[in-house]
Amino acid sequence: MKKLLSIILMMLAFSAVASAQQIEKLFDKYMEDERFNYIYQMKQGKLERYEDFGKAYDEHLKMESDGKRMLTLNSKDEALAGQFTREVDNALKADKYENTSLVRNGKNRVEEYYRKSNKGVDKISFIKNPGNIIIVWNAYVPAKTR
Amino acid sequence: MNDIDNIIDNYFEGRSSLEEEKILKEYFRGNKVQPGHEIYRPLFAVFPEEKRVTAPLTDISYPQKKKKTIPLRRIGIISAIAVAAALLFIILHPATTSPVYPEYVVIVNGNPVTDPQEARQYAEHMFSEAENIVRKTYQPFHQAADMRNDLNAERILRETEQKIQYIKTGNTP
Repeated sequence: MKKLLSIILMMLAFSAVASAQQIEKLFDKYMEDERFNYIYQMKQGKLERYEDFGKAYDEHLKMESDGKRMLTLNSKDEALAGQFTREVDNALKADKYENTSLVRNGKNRVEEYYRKSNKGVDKISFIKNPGNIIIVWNAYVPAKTR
Repeated sequence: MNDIDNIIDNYFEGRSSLEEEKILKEYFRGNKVQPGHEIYRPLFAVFPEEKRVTAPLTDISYPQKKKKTIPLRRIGIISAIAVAAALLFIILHPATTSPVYPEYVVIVNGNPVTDPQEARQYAEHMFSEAENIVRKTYQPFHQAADMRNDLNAERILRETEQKIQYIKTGNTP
């Protein structure tokens, strides 16, 4: 019984760790793909006040940027765009991101996602335009921990 | 006697043999030394003393360096103290120089942009473009929020009442 319980706990822990990194795996998967553009910006020592509009959260923590990444698919291949969109959606669900807003203006569609973890806060902007799909991932940590 | 003279000459020239030197010793020990040879008697009289004189043995003692043997226990204690001091120093004085990471990592269509200046410009341009798209996409949302504020019935009624009050009292707002 103890052995079974420990195995279950280990599997839960492993799955939690594995699923928490899906969006990061997605970035790593396509960062060197010739159909994509990848940007990673490391902000050092700049305090940014974290705000999010359209969200009912009351917390306004003094947060500091822990890096900003962008992955852009520059392709008019609809099949590829559809496949990539599905991968992003699956990764956001697996990492338990909360969809905080969805705005569609003409052919532009912007979805905002938010996740709070022990490490800090992650914000993702998922932008879909005709001809390109952009994911912008902002990571924030409390200013004291940096 | 010529023989004695010859032997003496050989002796002083360093060509005398041991036999000749023995002869000289016997001659000068005896009583038949000629007057012309008396002058050499004191010189050859030391010969019998030579055998008995031996150079004293000199014992030259060098100062012995004492090898200090450090007990193993002390070595262990000293090593432990040194390691602890080093660890304490590292903890209290961490390396101030942190690893240098590039400010931007930019890969365009699978090709990394190695020039830092170009990478920075491209990254800032792309982030700016993304923010513009988000702003434009959210523009109707913000416009709607502004319209909601402008068409706030409660606020309109309150302002209207204030204007009526000012008209009644004659006070300018």
